[in-house]
Amino acid sequence: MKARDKLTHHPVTAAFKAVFSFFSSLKTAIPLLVITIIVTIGISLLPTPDLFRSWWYLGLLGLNGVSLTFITIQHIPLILRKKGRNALIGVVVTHLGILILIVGAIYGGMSGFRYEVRVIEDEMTIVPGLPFVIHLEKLEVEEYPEGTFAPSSQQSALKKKQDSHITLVKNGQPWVSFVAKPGAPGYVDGITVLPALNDIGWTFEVIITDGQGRQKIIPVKPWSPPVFNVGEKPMMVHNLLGEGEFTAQLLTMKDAEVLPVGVITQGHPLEMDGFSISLGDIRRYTSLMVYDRPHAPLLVTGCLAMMLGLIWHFYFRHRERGRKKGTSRGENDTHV
Amino acid sequence: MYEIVEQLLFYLAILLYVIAWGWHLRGWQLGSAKQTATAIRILWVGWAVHVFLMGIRWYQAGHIPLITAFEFVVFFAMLVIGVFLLFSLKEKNRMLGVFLLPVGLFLMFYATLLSRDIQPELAIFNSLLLKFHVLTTLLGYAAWSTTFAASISFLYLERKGKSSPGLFDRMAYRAAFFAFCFLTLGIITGALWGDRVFGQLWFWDPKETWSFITWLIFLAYLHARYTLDWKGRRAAILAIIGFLAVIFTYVGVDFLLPQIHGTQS
Repeated sequence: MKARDKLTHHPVTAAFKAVFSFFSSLKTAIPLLVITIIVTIGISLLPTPDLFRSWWYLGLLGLNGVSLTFITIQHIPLILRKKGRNALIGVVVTHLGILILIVGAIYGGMSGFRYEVRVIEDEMTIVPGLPFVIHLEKLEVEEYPEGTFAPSSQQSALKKKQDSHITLVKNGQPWVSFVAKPGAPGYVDGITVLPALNDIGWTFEVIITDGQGRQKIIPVKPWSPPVFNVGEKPMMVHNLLGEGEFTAQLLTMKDAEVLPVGVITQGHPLEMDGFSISLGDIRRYTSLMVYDRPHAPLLVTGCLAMMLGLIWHFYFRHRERGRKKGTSRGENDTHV
Repeated sequence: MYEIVEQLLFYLAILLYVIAWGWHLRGWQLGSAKQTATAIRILWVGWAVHVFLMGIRWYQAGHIPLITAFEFVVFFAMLVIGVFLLFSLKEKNRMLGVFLLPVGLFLMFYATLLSRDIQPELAIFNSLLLKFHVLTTLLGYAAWSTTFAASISFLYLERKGKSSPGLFDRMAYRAAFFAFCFLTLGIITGALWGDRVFGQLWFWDPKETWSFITWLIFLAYLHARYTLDWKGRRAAILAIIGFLAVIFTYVGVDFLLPQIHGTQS
């Protein structure tokens, strides 16, 4: 037996041929596409969009990719013979683009990192795993005028201006400074820094002074509100949202019930049971998304290839049609 | 003052569209090319009024009128009629308008139920990428409306046993190609905008998921025609399924599924 025949009859070659023939059949591709559509519709109706990131859904997309590749390869001679070289280029480039997109989507599901951190104005924030420290120098916020949104609108948390002045510190030295805001993130060394739209607010300090002038400072972070004692009373505090002066409301708990005690503003402490409760340092905070996306070049390349392929295909098809029309006028029935 | 002018233009456009549709219908029933030509002329006038209405709204709001649900629907109707007029420049047929104009009219009547108040543009929506996303997606849907109307026309003619419904079949295919290209661009630009604002290219938000499903159906249609050589009846039925997906993505999702997507109001 010749070496070539040996290779042809090799079990691996035979298995590959079987797999190729299975996936390059339209009788496989169309049910796969229909299943993908049905599964996508099904998941979209469930309250668990996480299923879109599951291995089996990504696997289904991957199978579509395999089928797409094999069918394109299988049809190359046919398209070349029936529709010509330009149609082939369009078809191959478009499908290559879709394939790159699918590979990019699957790779993106498995790679890169993503952190969501809360940073406080004029504080350094260390994020384990990042090669720099984040310093939020200033957070400029401007609210929309009252009445811009309907009371229950999801958009009422949006700000007119939300500029985070950020400096990244590396090896103890300021490294890069930029202003990031929703819609205009900062990009550094392939890492994106983007302020979140809906997690922005205030951190503050509550200062409790007893009758002998001794002070206790309670830092208050809204995402983990502290419970502290004033004398024997357990207390909680939160800031009242709204326009105007920063106001914090003190609450106490009695028999599992939360009762308001009073409010404090800057320069206006609350006197209670021989204690003076006042406001200390007030600072803004915001959530930042810090992520890298190694699959981004794949996605961009895939999109570009797909669009280029479509445009190429359309241009040459149109030219071809024009040429055919020129040679056989009156073929089209234009009055129905 | 502007509000009154805007209201007048809005109802004038609807009136002209209704007249154009009636004329179109009559022209089709009588088989009169002259009547159809008159209907198209009336439609051009109606469309000019429509464009003028959007221009006034743009001037008055100070931003492109694609912010509120009303603006969105009226803009979409303008594109549907505009795409039809574009096709009517090349293909002098009497039937397409009979089925396509009701799509535009339905949108205009739907808009009468929506608030016409002008909203200020939120900072995050002030992006060229977002405008491009909305425009290309709506153009894709408008082009598919033509595919839908052409497919209905084809099925009607085929049922009546009339000859030469092939024009509509070809028209459906051509419009489908445009629809696919524009929807692809719309999805890509939408993902890029979402990435800059929310930090994620794709959320699997119901609107995104359904536009992906619609894209897959468009893809299936083009492949069925290109590779399997589907023509006529089967392709027309798939085009109608695609149109139902467009309607669900555009309107149904807003009412039935919770989402972050949508208009500002």
